[in-house]
Amino acid sequence: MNKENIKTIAHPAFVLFIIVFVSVALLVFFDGITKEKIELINAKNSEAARIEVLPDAKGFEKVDFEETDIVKEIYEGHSDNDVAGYCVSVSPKGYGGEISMTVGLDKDLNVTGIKITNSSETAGLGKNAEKEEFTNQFKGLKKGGINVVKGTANKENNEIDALSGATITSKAVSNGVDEAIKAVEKIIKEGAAK
Amino acid sequence: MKKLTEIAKNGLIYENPTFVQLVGMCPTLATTTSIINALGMGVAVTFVLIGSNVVISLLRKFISPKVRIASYIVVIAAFVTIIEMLLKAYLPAISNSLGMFIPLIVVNCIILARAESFASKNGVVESALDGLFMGLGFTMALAILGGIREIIGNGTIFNLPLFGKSFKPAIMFILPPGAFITLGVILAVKNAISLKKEGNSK
Repeated sequence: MNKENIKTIAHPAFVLFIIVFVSVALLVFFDGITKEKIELINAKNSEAARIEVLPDAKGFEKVDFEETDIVKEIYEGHSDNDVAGYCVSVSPKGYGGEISMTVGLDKDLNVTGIKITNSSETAGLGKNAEKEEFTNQFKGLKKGGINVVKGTANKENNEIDALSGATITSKAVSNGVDEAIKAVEKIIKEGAAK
Repeated sequence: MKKLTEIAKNGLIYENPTFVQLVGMCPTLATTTSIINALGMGVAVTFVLIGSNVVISLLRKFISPKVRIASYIVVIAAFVTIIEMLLKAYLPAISNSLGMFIPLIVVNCIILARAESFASKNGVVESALDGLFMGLGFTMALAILGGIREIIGNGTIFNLPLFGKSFKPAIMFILPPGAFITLGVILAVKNAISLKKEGNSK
């Protein structure tokens, strides 16, 4: 191999190496200075979501349980030494991927509120599920399965109105709430058995 | 400054990234379901484009032509990721509204196209200006698309209802087929106009 070859092959490789090395070094550096801050903000946001769906609680404590595909986290809400209810993070599958939401339940497993924290549903259709007009429908619903109907919902029958043009999203959200109720029901049962 | 007006005209009209160069189609079609989303994507791309053009222009003498594409991709991906981390940590409000667009920018070929065809051959100031006007051209195109789709597909503009309650919007326009149809019609109209102009000047 002559000198010319080494130059034409080694030089570009060396340049690329330097660029990748510097880029990675910068990424590591910025990750280091932002990581804690980002985690803090995320923790604050999920705390805010918990307070919003379970306003009676004064503090929250994480509960150990067996995670499922849908139910990710359960927090027990306390108010003055008493259990105020539960906050459950669920991610049911919607039309455009997972819908991250927090479900608030009181001691008797009635829904106190839900909040969708992140979703990739179609803007203008499924994305409207994040609005309060839709999520407020869930307040006061009970265990035993929520039915999704079109325009004729009756709270007494555990029913909600589907968003027009976004039935899959509506069903996914109500499925998330059902799963949250089931998961907490299981925890309470196991707790009683101990 | 003749150069400035030239760069501006190129970015906004003659070489408009969306309507003339047809680059960055993926985010164009995906994020124009409403005018607000379109503007969000446009603004995010503009900032990244200015930044990446400046970085590439600064490095243009160092980057060896044989490995330039690989180098651009690494530089741009690192740059976008750093911006995303900084936004999340220090400007969470902006990150919440633009957050979903930022990872999409990495795969937006406008950034790579401008690095290859402009920033790698021009000085820092020109490259920054090119980024600014290409970004504005992109934003303008997206806003037109997003506006039309939101009006027809949802009956609103900037989330404000335009018609009475009896108006039934054509939902298809905010779904993917509506993106292709709207873009196709706009391009057809644009081509018809420029063909006519050419005919007149002959």
